[in-house]
Amino acid sequence: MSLGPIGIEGNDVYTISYKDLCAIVHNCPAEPYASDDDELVKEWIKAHQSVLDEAKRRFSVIVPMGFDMVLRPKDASSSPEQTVREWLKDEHDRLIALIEKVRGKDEYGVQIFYDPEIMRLATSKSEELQKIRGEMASKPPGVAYMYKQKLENMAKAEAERLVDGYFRDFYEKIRCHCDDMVLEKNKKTGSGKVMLLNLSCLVSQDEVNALGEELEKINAMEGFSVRFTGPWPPYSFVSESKKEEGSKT
Amino acid sequence: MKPNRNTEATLVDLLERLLDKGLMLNADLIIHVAGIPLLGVNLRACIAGMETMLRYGIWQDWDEAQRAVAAEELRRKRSAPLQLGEEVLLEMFASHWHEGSVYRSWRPGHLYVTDRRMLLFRKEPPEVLFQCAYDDIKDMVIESGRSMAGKEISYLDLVLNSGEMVRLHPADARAVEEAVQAMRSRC
Repeated sequence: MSLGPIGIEGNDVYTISYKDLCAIVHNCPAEPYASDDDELVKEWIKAHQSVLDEAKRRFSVIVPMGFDMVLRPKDASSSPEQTVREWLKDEHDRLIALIEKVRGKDEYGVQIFYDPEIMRLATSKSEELQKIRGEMASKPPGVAYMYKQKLENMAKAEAERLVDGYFRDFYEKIRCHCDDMVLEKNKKTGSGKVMLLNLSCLVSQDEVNALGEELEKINAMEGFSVRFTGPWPPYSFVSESKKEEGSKT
Repeated sequence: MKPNRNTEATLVDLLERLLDKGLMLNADLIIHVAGIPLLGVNLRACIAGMETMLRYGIWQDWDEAQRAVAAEELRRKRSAPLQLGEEVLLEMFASHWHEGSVYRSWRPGHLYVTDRRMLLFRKEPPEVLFQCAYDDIKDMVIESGRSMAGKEISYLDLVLNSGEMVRLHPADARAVEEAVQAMRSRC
């Protein structure tokens, strides 16, 4: 069946089925899409995403593939359609399991940032540090210098403990609303804020509002800000490695 | 809080997922071209926060092809006289102590520690203030001193094989020393 000319460069998007599964494809030249032109690439990405949106609308559950999955012509005798059908047949059980895993759920990105200045101010109030500062005031300059070193090290350790605590707290709070979760690498920001937590979350459709409320609370905390993106197709939750199954022939 | 997906700002989030995730086909079924950056360089760069990575000297995670393309972009952007294919490992502000017959002073510029040499370049007016290859360096040491304002600072002192003594004041002397030492032990 055809979904219409909504593919990259207006290619006709259609399905190839095997039993209760179907793959959504369109024809293209036998090479990956590659370009230096950012605007063109953005158009390709948007086309890719809108095909997924249309498919989701029609079929209600989709398992996404990454960009540039271009099937190679195996040989002169078998067509790409046959290759896809064979693949669907071989992977049928695994694919059905993935579909059920993500049915009724979407992927969301959650990133939490903190302002290191606020963190520093918070630790400076700690009792231990106050005590050392008090001692330092009464000492001669040379000795005071060594106290300063000690103070700096302690402040750093305090800040790390504090940040760790928030990390674990937020992680747990968010986890409660997710069916599955992947911890991503923190990225450097240009802005002076520091990324504390970078998550991809698989969230059931009826749990999203609750997650949003939790994030609203965190965002309102002084020194913290939250970035909440999505809904995305569940890219982070379908790239399983192939498992050996004894019952397969 | 409502999730967001339809703005330029979230393009990066989508891109990260599209490029590195999703269901996999067996490798023998698909066409891939090894080593060629598949999508626009600037989009890749914005995913990785490339400029920031560069400031911290983090270069190891990138594969060969991306680095070559990224290096070329930076070379064009910087106007520093970097050679084709020259890779910058570390860059930061630095000053060079110039002791000439006519005057003595600190001359500020951009310091590049590359895979071929150290280079200190001033943009306006454009001039190479200092450069040397790694096997020109006989010895290297960090010296502490005090600035005019009484602040503690670190210098990087080099003794070259020619006998010339060079004093640099980089923004982070220790980072430069480490990077240069790593390059020296590679030669």
